[in-house]
Amino acid sequence: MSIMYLLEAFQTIFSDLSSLMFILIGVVAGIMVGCLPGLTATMGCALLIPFTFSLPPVQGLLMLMGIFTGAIYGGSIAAILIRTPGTPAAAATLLDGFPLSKRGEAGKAIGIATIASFVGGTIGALIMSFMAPQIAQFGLRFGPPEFFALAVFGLSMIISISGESLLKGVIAALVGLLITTIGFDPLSGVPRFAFGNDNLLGGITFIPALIGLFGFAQVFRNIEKMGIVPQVRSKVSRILPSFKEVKTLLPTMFKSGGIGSVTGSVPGLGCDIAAFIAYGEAKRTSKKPETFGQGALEGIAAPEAANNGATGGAMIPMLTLGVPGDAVTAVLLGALTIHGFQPGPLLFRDHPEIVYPIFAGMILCQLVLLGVGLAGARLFAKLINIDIKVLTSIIFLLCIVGSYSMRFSFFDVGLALGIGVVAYFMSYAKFPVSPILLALILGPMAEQNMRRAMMLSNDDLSIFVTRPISATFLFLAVLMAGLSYMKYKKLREIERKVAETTAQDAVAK
Amino acid sequence: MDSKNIDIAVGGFLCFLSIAIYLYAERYAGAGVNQYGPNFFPQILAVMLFIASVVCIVQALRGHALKDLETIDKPGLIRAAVMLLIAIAYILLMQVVGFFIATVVFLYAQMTYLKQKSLLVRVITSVLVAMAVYALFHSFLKIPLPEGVF
Amino acid sequence: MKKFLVALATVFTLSGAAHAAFPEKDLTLIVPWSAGGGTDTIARALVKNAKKYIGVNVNVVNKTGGQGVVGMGAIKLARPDGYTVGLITFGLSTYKLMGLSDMTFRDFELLQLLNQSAAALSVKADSEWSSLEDLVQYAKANPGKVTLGHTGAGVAWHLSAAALGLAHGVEFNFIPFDGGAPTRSALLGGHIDLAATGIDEVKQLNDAEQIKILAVNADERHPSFPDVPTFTEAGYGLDAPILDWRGLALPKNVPADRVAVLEEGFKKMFEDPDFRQYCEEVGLMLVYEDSEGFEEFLTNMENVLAPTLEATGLLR
Repeated sequence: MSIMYLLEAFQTIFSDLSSLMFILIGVVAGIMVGCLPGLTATMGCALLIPFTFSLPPVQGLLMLMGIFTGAIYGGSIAAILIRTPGTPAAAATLLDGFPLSKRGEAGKAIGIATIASFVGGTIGALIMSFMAPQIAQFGLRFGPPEFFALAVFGLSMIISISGESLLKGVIAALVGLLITTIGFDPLSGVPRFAFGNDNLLGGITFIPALIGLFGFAQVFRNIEKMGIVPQVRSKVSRILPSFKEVKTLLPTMFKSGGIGSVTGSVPGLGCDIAAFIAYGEAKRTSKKPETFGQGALEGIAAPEAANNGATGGAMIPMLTLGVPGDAVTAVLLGALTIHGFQPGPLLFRDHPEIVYPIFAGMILCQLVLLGVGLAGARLFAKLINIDIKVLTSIIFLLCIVGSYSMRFSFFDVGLALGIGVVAYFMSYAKFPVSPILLALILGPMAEQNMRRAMMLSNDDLSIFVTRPISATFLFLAVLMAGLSYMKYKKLREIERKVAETTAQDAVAK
Repeated sequence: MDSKNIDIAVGGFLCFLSIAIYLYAERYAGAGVNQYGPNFFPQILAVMLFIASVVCIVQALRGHALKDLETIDKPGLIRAAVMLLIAIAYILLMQVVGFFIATVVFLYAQMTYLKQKSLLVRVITSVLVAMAVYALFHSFLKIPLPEGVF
Repeated sequence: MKKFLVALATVFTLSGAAHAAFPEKDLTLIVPWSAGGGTDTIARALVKNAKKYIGVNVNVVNKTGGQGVVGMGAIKLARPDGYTVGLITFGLSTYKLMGLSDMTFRDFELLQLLNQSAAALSVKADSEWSSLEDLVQYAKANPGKVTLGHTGAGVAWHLSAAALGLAHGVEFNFIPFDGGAPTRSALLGGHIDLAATGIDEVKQLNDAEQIKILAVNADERHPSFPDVPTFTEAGYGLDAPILDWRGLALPKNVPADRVAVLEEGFKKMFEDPDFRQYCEEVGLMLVYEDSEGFEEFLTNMENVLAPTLEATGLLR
């Protein structure tokens, strides 16, 4: 039955080509917003809502969904090219995207990100179209203990992204977790570590921290190395991935797209968490986990498929329950209400004329994204061929404006610059930066839900193991930590042997 | 500094920091409804950080620290520090003369300092980029940028 | 007297050639809560037709953080030229009491009250309780057993529920969530027995019969929910209901003539039929008070809040 509605919706969209045009405008605008560090998908949608006032509701929504899809994808372009995720969702993409770009293969990285986004996004859109009610019910089974277990599961990935020293990765993550305890505690109403400063009362805002950790740190590194290390240039010959490469990545993309859609559909989890979970899973099951972090193609395909899959997933609870899946869908929910539709269980019954075009539009967004992305990959990849003196100056400016524009706050700019200086020196002392990022994303989720669960159970810790979903995630976390730790040991062992033999060779010569 | 001394210095600092956090968080004790109050998380993290830092120091003393550290290029470091100062000057200037003019000056100053030779490139890039950013943020997205005192 | 001054000021603005026309450029409306949230959506709906009434557009700017302290602080410190208007919310009544900030409504030039929301206690549709009476009886027999989810410590809904417990000797197990959406999903998922939220926040779920609203903490029934009894009608009245509120304010020292223009302009936006219709659809109760009435309401609110905050251990 829903297929008929869906086909009808496609017909409606195609009968009026202006709808397609609005999708195109939305996707392109979204990619632009997503590319710029500091402008997130949430802000893009929020800032452009007034433009949709004058449009008929369906077209206005199609445009907003275009922005959503485009921005989540666009974030990866900045992550790959300048090691600064344009949106938090692209944070996992930079782990392998930037190393590829440093080898001159930015075009290939963007190409894979595009195809993975398309595959993941389409899976998300299809799941949303056909399984929305069932998935929504599953998402509701996540209560405080489940969220805590999931956060612990996510944090077990620190081992995967710690690089050379696990101990230093753990230290970085602990510092990151401590940073998340700054600010107003919504559970007790107590302001923590704010020292009477209003700006700290809200905690360290995520976006400026992100820009500092990656954007500013990279700018400083570029400036320091300028003239010593020759500028990386994109190889023009191999701009797009070959069909064969894409084919071997397809299983990763499908799996990650599915993981992303389901993760996104749990209210409170967003595209960023989905991307990290898929990255960890891809690394765990990869045949060559040692290539992760060095520019593994799977390391780009997995998070990109997952974060775009999560866009469709996040729409599910918003449409069926009126509970937004993440921050962007919260904005879309607002847009729907302004246009006179109350998302919730009644939307499907009362307004099928808006629900099915949303489904159809989500699928079309992915197609448009594929077209625009592949056409643009060549162009984007050439961006880093701009003279590094000019490019660095512009990136520096964009990072400053980006950290300002989250809250229109110079405090945030100063904060981001400060974090940038620390992150710059951290990499010299071999402290990995990515665990901090993961901690910033998962810290509040872990803390609040742990304490909430304790309130529910009256301080009985067994609540975490007597509930099936929670127990499963905790078990997986232990399993994953154990397995990754063994793999990690093995890898270091091999490296040491290699180092010894090369040293002996050197001596022999 | 070699990696051993860096690890000991960082580990020592973090030990101190974790003790400070633990003690400071003590003031939040009792504000929650159960034993897992607002002080619980910071304190347990501080304990873990303390242990990790001690292990870090011990490993460094036993010579387990990673050897191959990248060396920081001295002139490069000074260059980066000067650029940071230029950025701070830009942020202050922006609040006096407004976003647009400050941005043009900032871009021009950066490129001049980084020794971009062509005057034409410097001027054109500064003005065009500033215009593009201003148009996008101010006119299109309607983000309030500092207008200056005029 | 005030009205006279306003009229006088308006005459001056209209006739005074020495005065440049105000406003001559777009206004900014600072919203201290994030884009897409309830407050933000109301702000955007309010200024949707601004051009029709005040001649320029009003741009909504979200300045978030610190439970609204950052945004409201920005309103307080904005340049007092009338081009920056702020939306102030319930938090302002609690900051000083909770020790979050020294800011109170006295730091602002109040413009008008926009709305008041009443707290609702809801249960899942298949819950064993179908009235407040049932619930209170059960909770009294099993102290601390009923889990009550709310949207955050010190939020109006939390304090409303706490006040009920205090007044009638009921012991709930309070579970704070971070905002309305997580609270609703926790209720739907059966993780909590009872949710305290704004009544408008649960309208959709109530219409869809997924939840039941047991009672609303207000003096009168809500026009969009004629079947929902007030606490008093349900037999558990409180002296004065704790109401969530939103209003408009300016920084201090804005020239009086400009204040008058803004007062009139925003009142017209407030009466715009599109805005009215939107608010009716989402179940938002609009309540107008001019600056004097607004001030009186806020003074009164502080007196109502202090004892409840003290009893919940939030008073600093």
